[in-house]
Amino acid sequence: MSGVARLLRLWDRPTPLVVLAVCAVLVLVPLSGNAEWITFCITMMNLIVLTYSLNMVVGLTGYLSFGHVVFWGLGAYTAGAVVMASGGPIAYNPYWVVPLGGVVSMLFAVAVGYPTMRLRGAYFAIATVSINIAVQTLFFNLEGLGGAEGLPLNRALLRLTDRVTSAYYVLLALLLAAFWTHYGILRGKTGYGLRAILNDEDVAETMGVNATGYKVAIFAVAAFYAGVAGAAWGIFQNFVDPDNFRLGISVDLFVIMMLGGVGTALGPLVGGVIYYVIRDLLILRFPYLHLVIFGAVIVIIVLAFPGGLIGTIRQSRRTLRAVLE
Amino acid sequence: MMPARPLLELNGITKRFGGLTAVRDISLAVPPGEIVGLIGPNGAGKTTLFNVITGVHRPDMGEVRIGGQRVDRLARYLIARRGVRRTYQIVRPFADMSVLENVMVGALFGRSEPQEKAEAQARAVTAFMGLQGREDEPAATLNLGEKKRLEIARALAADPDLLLLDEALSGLTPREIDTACETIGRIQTELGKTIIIVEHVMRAIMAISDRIVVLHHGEKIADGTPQAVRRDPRVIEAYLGESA
Repeated sequence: MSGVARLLRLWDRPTPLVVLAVCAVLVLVPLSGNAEWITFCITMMNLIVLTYSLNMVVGLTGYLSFGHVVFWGLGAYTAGAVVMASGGPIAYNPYWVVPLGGVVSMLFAVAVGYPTMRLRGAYFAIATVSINIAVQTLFFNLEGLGGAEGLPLNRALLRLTDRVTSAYYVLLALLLAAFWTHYGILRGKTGYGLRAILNDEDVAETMGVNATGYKVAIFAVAAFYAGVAGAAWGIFQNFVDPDNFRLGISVDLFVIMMLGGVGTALGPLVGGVIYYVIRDLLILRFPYLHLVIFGAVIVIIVLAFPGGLIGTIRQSRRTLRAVLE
Repeated sequence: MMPARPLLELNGITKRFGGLTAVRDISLAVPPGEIVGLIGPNGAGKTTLFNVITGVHRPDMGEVRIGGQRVDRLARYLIARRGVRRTYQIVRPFADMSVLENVMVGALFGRSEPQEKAEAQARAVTAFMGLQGREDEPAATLNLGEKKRLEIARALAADPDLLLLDEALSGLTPREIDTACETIGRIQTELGKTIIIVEHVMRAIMAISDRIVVLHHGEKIADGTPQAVRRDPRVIEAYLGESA
């Protein structure tokens, strides 16, 4: 392929470039040593990974997973319990526990996915909210894990010099991984199967797509990413409590997802960055009214860009191309 | 010479919905390479029979065999993997996907992997069905005749042994019907597919079918060559009503 043709292809599919550019900037932030920026980015990346997880379910299968935070909370508690159990001085980097949080959430997703993914439309959404609330209530009452007061993990963690930087790079790596997973799924056979299910599940099945299998599999993969994000967050905070299952977090996730573009591989990243920057600027400028203004801004953006920012950009590129041809 | 083993066998299929018996004790054997026209007045049970074959409905009695193996207890996607594909009376393309992407689903979940091979297969089938140049258009923008062709392309891309066409011709203009008949003939002769086609357009179905099966009130009342069926008094009665 000639160099020109390659450049043209990148213009056609700029998604990986955009992600690499954003990540290149994110890699440099910790070098600044600005603690405020670092914490800001950690919080943002945590929610972006979580939005990728949600987007895999909602965007790829059309199933509204309103109780998606349950997988995040389970990941946080898994990491929390393990780190706490190791007691005194920690002989290993606690972030090695992160994958375990993902695995636990994934197993939970398979267990609840098999019965609930047969439900359609609103019933699935209601089921996920119920599961979220049930699990949260359970953790409120699990005294062994701190109950309602929550669970401080391990004082030894606080003495770890690179605790914050580790959290930063772990979440950045998870963000990249979540993006590549979503992007890879979209372009492969699995993506075709899932989009067929999203369009017409009955037809997809008579075309040879194992709809239940695909739905449960994507649910499990999504839950894995929510779980690892939760685990990293729990260790970073050195504290987990039932607030890690707060339903309100789901609202943030849905807003970010719709802002960026439901189902797109770039949506959660773009939506997440814009969401956070706007919110932060508003808090600084209008400390008392920021939520009111923020709500209005969200409504305007969603009304102006019904397909999300990515959907709108794609549409305008198509129009531009039609004009040029 | 031994007759070829039937590709599809229905043995005593009965399907009820509550008190309504949609099909009753239907038996049918379709040898490979044949085009079978399935006709009958509205509500005769034609689409129900398709739904039973593809696993959308489970028969209350009787069995479905494909290539000699029983399939009527299998999940839909597993029946599809035995080489059965269908189109729909009311078209159901994947509306948000492009023409080529629709056909790609057929190829990828049929017998074409890896993806490069599937794409080549999908492009070839799209052209075979006369949709070349339309590959990147959203399926929702096609007109009815094109959507019907797209559904056939999507099914064909999977390289099925048995193709079930549910009213692939109705709603088309006379010219489109002629083209479609020619295409269906080519699917049989060039691609070697076995086809069952449900149709109301008599002129067309009599011309392209090797054999006609007539359903009436869920029962099979005739099964034979187009010429024989056309003269069958029970068929005439079913279509024109009882003579005074």
